[in-house]
Amino acid sequence: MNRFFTELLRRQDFYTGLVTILVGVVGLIDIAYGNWRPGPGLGPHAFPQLAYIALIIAGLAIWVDVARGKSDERPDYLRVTLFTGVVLVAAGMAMFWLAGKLGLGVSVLIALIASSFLLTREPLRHWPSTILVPVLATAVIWFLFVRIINVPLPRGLLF
Amino acid sequence: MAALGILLAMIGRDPIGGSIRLTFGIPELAGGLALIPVLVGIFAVSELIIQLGRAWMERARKIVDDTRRQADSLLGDYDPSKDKLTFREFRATWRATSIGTTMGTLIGALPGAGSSLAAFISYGLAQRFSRRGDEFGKGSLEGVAAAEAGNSATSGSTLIPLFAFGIPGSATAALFGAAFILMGMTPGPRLIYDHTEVIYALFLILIYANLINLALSHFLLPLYSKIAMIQSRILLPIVCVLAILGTFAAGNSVIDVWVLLFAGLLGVVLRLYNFPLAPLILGFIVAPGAERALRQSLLIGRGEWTHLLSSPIAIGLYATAAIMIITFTFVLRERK
Repeated sequence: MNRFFTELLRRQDFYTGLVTILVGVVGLIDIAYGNWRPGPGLGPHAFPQLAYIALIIAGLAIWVDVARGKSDERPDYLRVTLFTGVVLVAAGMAMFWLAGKLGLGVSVLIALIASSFLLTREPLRHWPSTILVPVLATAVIWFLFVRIINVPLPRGLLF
Repeated sequence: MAALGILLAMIGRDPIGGSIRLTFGIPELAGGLALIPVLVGIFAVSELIIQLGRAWMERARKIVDDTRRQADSLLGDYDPSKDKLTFREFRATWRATSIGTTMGTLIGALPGAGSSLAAFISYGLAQRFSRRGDEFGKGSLEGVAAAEAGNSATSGSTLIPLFAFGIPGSATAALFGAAFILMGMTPGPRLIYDHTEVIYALFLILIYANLINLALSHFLLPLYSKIAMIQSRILLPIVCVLAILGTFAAGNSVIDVWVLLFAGLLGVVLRLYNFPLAPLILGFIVAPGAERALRQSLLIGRGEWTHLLSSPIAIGLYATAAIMIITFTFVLRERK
């Protein structure tokens, strides 16, 4: 029995199922004790409650599969991919904030050149693709969004 | 995944009573999550993050040298621009193509069935009816033709449930539906009556687009293959910037950009753990309408659940849904 549980804890999908069940349970507790106003018909809590119950059932189904020996392997390059995602979120918001200070063109140019430099080995040697292409792309994006579509993007000091 | 999509759709105002829910104290979320940022984030930004991660690993670990050497040794003198399908080869696969087209059209009309299911079933049927069935799985053109025809045929028929019921048949149809909603047209049975000219224009576009694509692709295929060769380190940052600016342009809201980026993170986690994304999007799109309809029905029936069984059409639809769920569950288990 101990060996069975130890084997379960080693499986990746056990934790996937656990997270799924926990989200469902926390949601149901929030509905039961949280600040939900009553409403006509079933009330605003009904569909979320249905979704949380479905999540708990899905989590239990994952656990049943794990107990039967089926489990996916740990994803490859998990940390690198998640780190890339977090960096992209931060960089995206930084670019947007900068657009309001320096202008769309300048912020997009900085973002494209910085990302090209980060992704290229010996970026100065490959200057056509790390500097020239971002400049051209920025010009096209600026022309498209500011001149043609006329989108009210945050305006900054420069263009 | 559908449950997760439903939960995301519940953020914001209750459609019947108007009370705010699941906003975690953020007032900008009172209007709910917009469709475009969620769609673009879940599908496009998540793929961008995965590709950027790979591009970074290639740059940092110098994996590109090894993979490029392996690719060069496999390709040798192979020139993709000279590798074209001859008319004789095309004629030899007409039966498999017909089977794939028919099965793809039928399966694509079922909401949520997906192009993969159509491809597998088309492949299996084509093998059964082929004179050279034992060559399948060893590079037979008929096998490729059947699977690809089944796969591609779903793209038109997934619009059938979208226009008939307002339920997108696939993630692509969901994007169509989103575009219609943005133009002020709600997909559903009324769309054909209220905007007949738009529907017929769509039919004509689908016919002309396929004919023009067939004619042009013969000459443009070498160019298409070169576009696919553009290095990811050049393409990915540009696509990222376009996704962010395009999302802001659609709603003129900074919250949409946050939703885009966090939906991208969510999409990455789901993809890494092999969760399918299409059910999440389908749940997100269908949930508000389903909740509204259910609660209105119960209000009309004064809280009686048996009111939902008062229509024979409704009973027929419940039975059809149950049969489809059971059938697809067995088919998917057998496939595994």
